Amino acid sequence: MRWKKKQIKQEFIKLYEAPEPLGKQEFLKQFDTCYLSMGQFMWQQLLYIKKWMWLFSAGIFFLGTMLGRNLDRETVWVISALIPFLALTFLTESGRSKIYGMEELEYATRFSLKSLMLARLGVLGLFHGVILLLLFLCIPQGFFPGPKDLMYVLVPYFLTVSLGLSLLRRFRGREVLYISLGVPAFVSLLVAVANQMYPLYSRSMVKFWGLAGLFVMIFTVKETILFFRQTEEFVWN
Amino acid sequence: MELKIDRVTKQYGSKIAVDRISLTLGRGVHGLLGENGAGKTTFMRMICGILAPTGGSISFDGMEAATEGYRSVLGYLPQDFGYYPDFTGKDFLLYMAALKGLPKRRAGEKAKELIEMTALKEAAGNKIKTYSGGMRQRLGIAQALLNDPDILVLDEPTAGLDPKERVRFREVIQEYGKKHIVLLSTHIVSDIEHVAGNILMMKRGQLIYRGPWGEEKGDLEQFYLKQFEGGEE
Repeated sequence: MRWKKKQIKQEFIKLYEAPEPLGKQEFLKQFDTCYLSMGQFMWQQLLYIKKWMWLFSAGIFFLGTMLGRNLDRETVWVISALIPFLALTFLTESGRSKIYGMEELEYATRFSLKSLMLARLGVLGLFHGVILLLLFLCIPQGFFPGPKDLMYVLVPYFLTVSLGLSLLRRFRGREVLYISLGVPAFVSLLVAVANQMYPLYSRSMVKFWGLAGLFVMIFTVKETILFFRQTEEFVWN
Repeated sequence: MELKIDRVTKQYGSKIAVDRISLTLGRGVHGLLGENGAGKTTFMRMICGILAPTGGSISFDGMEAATEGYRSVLGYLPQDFGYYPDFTGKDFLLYMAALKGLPKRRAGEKAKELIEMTALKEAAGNKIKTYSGGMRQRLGIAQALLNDPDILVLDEPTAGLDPKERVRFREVIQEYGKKHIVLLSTHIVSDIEHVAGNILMMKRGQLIYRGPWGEEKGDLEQFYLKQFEGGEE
């Protein structure tokens, strides 16, 4: 009986063809309020962060922990000099829209450039925070015996980020790429050269690291605010 | 459906790029004509909410420009735009669809529809860096239409298009303008006179003409050229 009903239905479908819908899209659009939520948007943006950035950051971490196991107190500066290259991925991502001229398109969308930057840099920043903390914890005690020595990893990182963001605000196009690569190299070299001139990692330099930490934190907060403020409005050349 | 522009001004130091422009735009195609440096792009950027006016206001059905709600109903094609080099044409449209807040399924459907409409079906899987100028421009037009915007702003949209593509573009825009607000800027008069029901002419930041253009007024191109005789001071 059921089979018969189904057969009858099939026959009717063949005999009487349904008319083409008129104004279907317009009708559906009235109810089409389905947009991506901020959470869905952030997840999607996560997927747009290049794979090499995750791998590169993880590579810095592993290199740092390997070095930490083999270094002595006098050569701990090598880890400090390595840390700026972790910030390289942060700067590259910050400048990506500018490098490729996508800013103007990204400004005019629902999730504008500011949301885009917050999503991507927020995620990358968190990832880097975890890496820095793990690096600090994985390095054998004796090199970084206390929280004050966390500055050995934080100061180079935030100095690179703040200096990089400060320069990124002022440039566009290909120059942004050179800044993203050049600033980490510069800070790394600065650490290496400064260590040759002064005993930066001795216990007598505690105050220096404390002040340096305070300075770079303030500088980073300032530059981050200015950087995100710039993402709210297209800057005339 | 109304886009209200009220005494909008943009000033950079002593230079006034846009000088107290007021108008209300409804459904239809509005053509913005003006020579280079007239202020067209600055004006369009303010309408898109990506440049804040120095004075005045812009709103659409009560929504202020640059708010999320306003940007949700906006489609914009800039005069020059870049692309991420590893993106294919389809990747680019899906990326822009995500920024416009379209859910994944709808983004896919819309991207497919627009790829066909802009005759990019065969190139959609290729990297954008392999595209010709005309193909990139068509891709740009496609991304502007992703969210079925109520306000479509196109800055020099026919640059790089061949004559056949130009005709096709005019047909698409004319059809779209029947139910939406389209603002189209160019310095090529023929692009506008076939398509725009309302002409806006800018010179040195000011609107020097607004309204429809009928045959009784003579040749639009002649009138336009006459306004800019002698060049900028």
